[in-house]
Amino acid sequence: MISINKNKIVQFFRRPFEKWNKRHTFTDKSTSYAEFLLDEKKYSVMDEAFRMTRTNLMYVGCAKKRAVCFGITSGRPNEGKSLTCANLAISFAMAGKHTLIIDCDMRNATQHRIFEKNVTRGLSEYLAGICEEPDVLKDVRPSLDVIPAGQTPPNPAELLYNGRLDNLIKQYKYEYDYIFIDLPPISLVSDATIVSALLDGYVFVVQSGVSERKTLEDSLAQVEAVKGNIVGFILNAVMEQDGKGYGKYGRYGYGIPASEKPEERK
Amino acid sequence: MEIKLSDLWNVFKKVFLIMLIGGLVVGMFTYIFSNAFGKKAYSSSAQFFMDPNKDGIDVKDYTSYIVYCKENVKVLTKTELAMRNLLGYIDVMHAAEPENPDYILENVYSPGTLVGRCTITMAPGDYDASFTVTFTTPSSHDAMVLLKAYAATCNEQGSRVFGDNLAIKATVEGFRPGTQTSPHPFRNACIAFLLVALAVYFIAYLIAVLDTRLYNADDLKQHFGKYPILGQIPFVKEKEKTNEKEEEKAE
Repeated sequence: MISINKNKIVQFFRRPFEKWNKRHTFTDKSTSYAEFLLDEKKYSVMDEAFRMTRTNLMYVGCAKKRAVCFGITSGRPNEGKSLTCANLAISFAMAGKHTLIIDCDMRNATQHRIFEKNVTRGLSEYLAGICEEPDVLKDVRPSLDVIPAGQTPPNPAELLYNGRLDNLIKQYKYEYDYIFIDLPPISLVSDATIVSALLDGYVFVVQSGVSERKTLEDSLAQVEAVKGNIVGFILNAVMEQDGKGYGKYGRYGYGIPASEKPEERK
Repeated sequence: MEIKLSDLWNVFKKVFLIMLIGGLVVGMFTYIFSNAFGKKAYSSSAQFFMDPNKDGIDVKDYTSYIVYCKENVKVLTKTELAMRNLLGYIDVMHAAEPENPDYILENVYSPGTLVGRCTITMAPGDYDASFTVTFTTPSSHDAMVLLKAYAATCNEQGSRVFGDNLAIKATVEGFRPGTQTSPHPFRNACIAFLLVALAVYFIAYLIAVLDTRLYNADDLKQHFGKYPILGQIPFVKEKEKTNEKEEEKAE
């Protein structure tokens, strides 16, 4: 009997049109993120977008006295998790909330690059027991601190199991109003689901025109399987023709490296 | 798989311009190509009149002859033997009268390349019966040669079959030379336009149906309505470095 693999058919038809839907990602390690971070001195539509997101997120766990801890993740890599996480945290910090970012993506550490800081002892060193406390990058923005990921360890998942992260988050929950944990993509590694018990909720970053329905379904199922609380989605890089409610966005970009010329998606 | 009218319309809106431009471009090329390289053919026809020379002959008597002529045209263009007879007659006559243009063909014919058609009509007036024979050839002159040769062979055959008792003759009159029957550049261009437009639409629809990516809030709501959309971050173009430099210079 002939069996038809639907995925193969989909791939076959889609392959020639991949270039049409190409979105730029920060795969180039030398790329500067500074241009894409929120700046309280300049107003942009991105400010407004993150402000709206912040307002929605503030309703989650508002009754708690401790810090609210969000895990920012996505179905697959390069959907803009880290930058969204950083901008979201900046947005909270701009609202006067004492905010902390923990870069838990030890396989692809990004937060220290976003804020252009050097790291000696990050989260991985702390989890491995090399140091008693990780370096906290204080006041990268007013009211915003960052714990960078540190050196890439050979066994990030095992490190997350050892309980030291629980202690760290418990400690910081009394020092900060909001904690954002930058997590690796769910579909590739199990790191993001390991920390589910520590989080008040997962926020999924979905990149418009890139995220696959199936991948997202699987990722959500994985989170649901570990009884994780899914707070909602942040739809990233919404183009004018895809989204609603945005007019012309201006010349300043988000989701594309400065070194590359932008390409319009058809 | 469910086909929604709204999906069909959405795809149409998206690809309408591509369909139009693609169709026009391909249609234009087809028109030019057909005109330049298409094999030209002219449809030339003549009426054959059956003229009974003797008084008192009933039309019924030579109906069989008309039927014979009609059938012969059908056979002529389909069988090698009948074709060879016609072309052979022209060759013989050409050998006898090399200068006579009535026996000179401009093109080489073989069975299958010649298209003939015969219609029978009852003619008013002096003539009791007539039929029209049409030949489609690359030149009008060849059609005339073939029509005359055909009339001659018919009369030869007729007198052989019916003898002198039935002295009727097929005569070629009302010869209409050359209306071009092929190629049809405009028709071909229209067909090309339609085919390209349909192909573009079909491919676009297929891509749209098979595309499982999430593009907007509606997609998310439709498939993952269980969870809220906290925010939508716009995609914007990067700052142009040249402008940045110019600004720096200005400062």
